[in-house]
Amino acid sequence: MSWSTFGRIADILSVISFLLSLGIFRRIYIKAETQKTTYAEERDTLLAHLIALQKNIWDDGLTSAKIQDTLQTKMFEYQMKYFFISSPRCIFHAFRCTHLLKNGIEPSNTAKIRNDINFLIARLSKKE
Amino acid sequence: MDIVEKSNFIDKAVTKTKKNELNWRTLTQNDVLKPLPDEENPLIHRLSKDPLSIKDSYIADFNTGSLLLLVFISTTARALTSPPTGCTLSLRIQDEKSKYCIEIANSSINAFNASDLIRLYNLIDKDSSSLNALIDDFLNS
Repeated sequence: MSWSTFGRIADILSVISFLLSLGIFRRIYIKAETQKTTYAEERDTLLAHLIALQKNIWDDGLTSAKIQDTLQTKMFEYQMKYFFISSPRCIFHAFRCTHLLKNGIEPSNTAKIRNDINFLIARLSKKE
Repeated sequence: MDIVEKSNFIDKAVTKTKKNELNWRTLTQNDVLKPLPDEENPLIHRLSKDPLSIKDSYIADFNTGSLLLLVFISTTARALTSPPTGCTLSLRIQDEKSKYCIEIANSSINAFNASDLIRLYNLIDKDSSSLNALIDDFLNS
């Protein structure tokens, strides 16, 4: 095969990859727009649940399996609903919190979980 | 009732619940539920509210009246969610003499109150205070 054939294949592949990139970016854009709408509509509900859970855990001393499951569910909900409109910092806190919650709330991870929830409450307090 | 009074009321309910000064129990069909003044109009009531979930709602006696934490869940969401997620919480107070009850807070109206109502619901829902009393009685017997 000559160099010119290689060149043509490379040209075709670059066009295909460009079109694929456009498709991917378009899908991300559509998802982000959908998530912005969801954020505007459902932000208050998730915020209320996180504030309530924060008070239940640290003010009321509730660390039952049900409370921890609910907190973990809310964290997953955050990740799924707002991934594309979240900053890397938000994603870090949401994922670290779910990771830490796998072992339950213990004295060793309390400070980090608390920090994650505080950050996400602050994020959700901000209107998009 | 202004916002500060409502907030104080919910805080007091949380404090009394934590101190076991309010004995919350699940609502039953036999409990008398007085309507809100605007519920007198059945059309408005039917259009604006999801149905009451009696088995998820709670009542606590206080002096001559009672406090109610009512859970309203839409019929479509009933099978998919468990309170306090996906429902409307309403904290009310009623007594024997008055014709109506008073709604202190509603989670669908005010987001600030919503977090306090969810907190209160989680506190009440964590266990049964009557069972704790029974355990204490058993241990002391």
